[in-house]
Amino acid sequence: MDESRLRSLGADVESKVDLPDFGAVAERGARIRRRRTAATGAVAALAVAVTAFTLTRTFDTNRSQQPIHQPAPTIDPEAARRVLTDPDAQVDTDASRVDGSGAMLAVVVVRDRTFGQTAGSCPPASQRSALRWTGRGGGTRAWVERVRRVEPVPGGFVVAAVPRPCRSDDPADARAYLVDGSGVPRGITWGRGAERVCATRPADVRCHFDVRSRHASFNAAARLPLGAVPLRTKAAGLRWARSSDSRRLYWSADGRTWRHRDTTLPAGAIVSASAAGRWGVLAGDTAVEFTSDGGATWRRRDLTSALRTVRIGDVDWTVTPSGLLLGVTQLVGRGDVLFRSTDATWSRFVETGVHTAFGLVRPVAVGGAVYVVDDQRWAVSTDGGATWRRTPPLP
Amino acid sequence: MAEDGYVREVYEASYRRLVAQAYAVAADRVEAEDAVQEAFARAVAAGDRFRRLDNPEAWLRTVALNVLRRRWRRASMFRALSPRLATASDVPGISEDHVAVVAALRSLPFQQRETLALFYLGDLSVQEIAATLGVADGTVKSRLTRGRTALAGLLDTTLEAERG
Repeated sequence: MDESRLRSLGADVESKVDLPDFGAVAERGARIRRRRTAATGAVAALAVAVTAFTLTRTFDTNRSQQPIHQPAPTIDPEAARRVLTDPDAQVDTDASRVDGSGAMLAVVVVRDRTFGQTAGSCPPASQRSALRWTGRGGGTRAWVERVRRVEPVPGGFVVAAVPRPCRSDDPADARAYLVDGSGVPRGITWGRGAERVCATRPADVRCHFDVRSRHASFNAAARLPLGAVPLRTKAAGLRWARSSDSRRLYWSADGRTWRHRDTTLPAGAIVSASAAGRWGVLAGDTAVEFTSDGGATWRRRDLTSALRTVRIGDVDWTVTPSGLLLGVTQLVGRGDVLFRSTDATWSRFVETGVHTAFGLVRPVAVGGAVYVVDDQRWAVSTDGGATWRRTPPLP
Repeated sequence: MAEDGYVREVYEASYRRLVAQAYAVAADRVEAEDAVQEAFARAVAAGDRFRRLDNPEAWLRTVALNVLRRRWRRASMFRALSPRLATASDVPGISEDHVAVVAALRSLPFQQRETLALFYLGDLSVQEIAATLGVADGTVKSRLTRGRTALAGLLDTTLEAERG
């Protein structure tokens, strides 16, 4: 596509749009202000009512809810094969995930051929989809499944319940389930209060899944700091989160009390906030502030000389649980290129051979695995970026 | 009011630019203008808090996008039930080529449209778009790739139909 057609659209529209009288806009703003004043009193009364209702409901839930045992889904490999072999089948790389062992759970979708015909955020009922699990050793399993959120947890994955507005009459839509380290779907035993939140939002900071015992528990006291984005490091015990602009890292041992560190890098610098295990990193292109002891001490390192062996532009950094640093940089003529430190001293960096023309994104460290997604497939490494394997293509 | 005076200055400087970006997202002039006016009305209602913003245009853009997104979700069922009634309006006087581009944009999923609009019309970087939309950098890149690919296909089809 000629991109200049899109860019020139803005100037064309700007020159043809009239500037309406500001008085009407100001009057509209004044009406909003009056409505807010009137609503404040009503909101206060409502807040009191909601608090009373929530306290009552929490009391009732805690008193009455016993562990709930749910069955695993039924597997139909033949129907899954028909989905995977459809010429229009695609892996949805945004929805698919890799777990800490390097196993991959791919969401495979046969797209509706007409753009823009979906109702709301729910996929059309006619859309077919499947999940395909690929183990570290190359073994695969697949089953037909509606499009659901997939979340890596220690030892496997959680496949979330279908979001409420998109559910059919099938009761299986309302159930979440686990996929264990062999790629086998397993039912979940829900602990007190867990199913209500964790079945649809398994990544919630309050949810904990144990694949081995097939149990899910809920810690109602855990909270993310306001505006923070969680980082996928639950497996290490220490929880990490970042601010939306990545200039602040938060960490917590219990999910309730959080400490934080703000970067001292210049205000205009693009900062990568990354954490795994005991390592936390706030990094610009060549200057890194880091902790290797779970936030107890922070140091600063200039990587300019260590980076002499690789070409870099702007860099997105990721740290692994063993303290290796991986960077993605965009180079003119070469696209996005992934490079890594040879060890945790960060004294030498080498290219990994993983690159794409467009769409290679920042690596994600999950447990002992690190993966990177481009537009079509993943590259996964379980040795800190030394060797990589690609997801198998669809049949 | 003094705050209104400041909002008026921003209004005169940014209104048309924001409408152009919102138009690429909504693919509908009326929706775009209304969303941007709603954003300015909220700026007036916000009073002194608006004056303290580092980047008022970015704030207005985010508010307008939220307004468009909410309306898009609400209107989804209406469009599905009665697509012929849900006709969009174009900006009068823009070139035929740009009308074709907007028609093609109209066929893309909403998320791809807003990503393309922020990148090409808003001149935002991938990181800035990710922060504005609250998604990962990778998601932005993949929406850009898919959006551009789909748009290229749609525009080629349009040209062939015009020629044929």
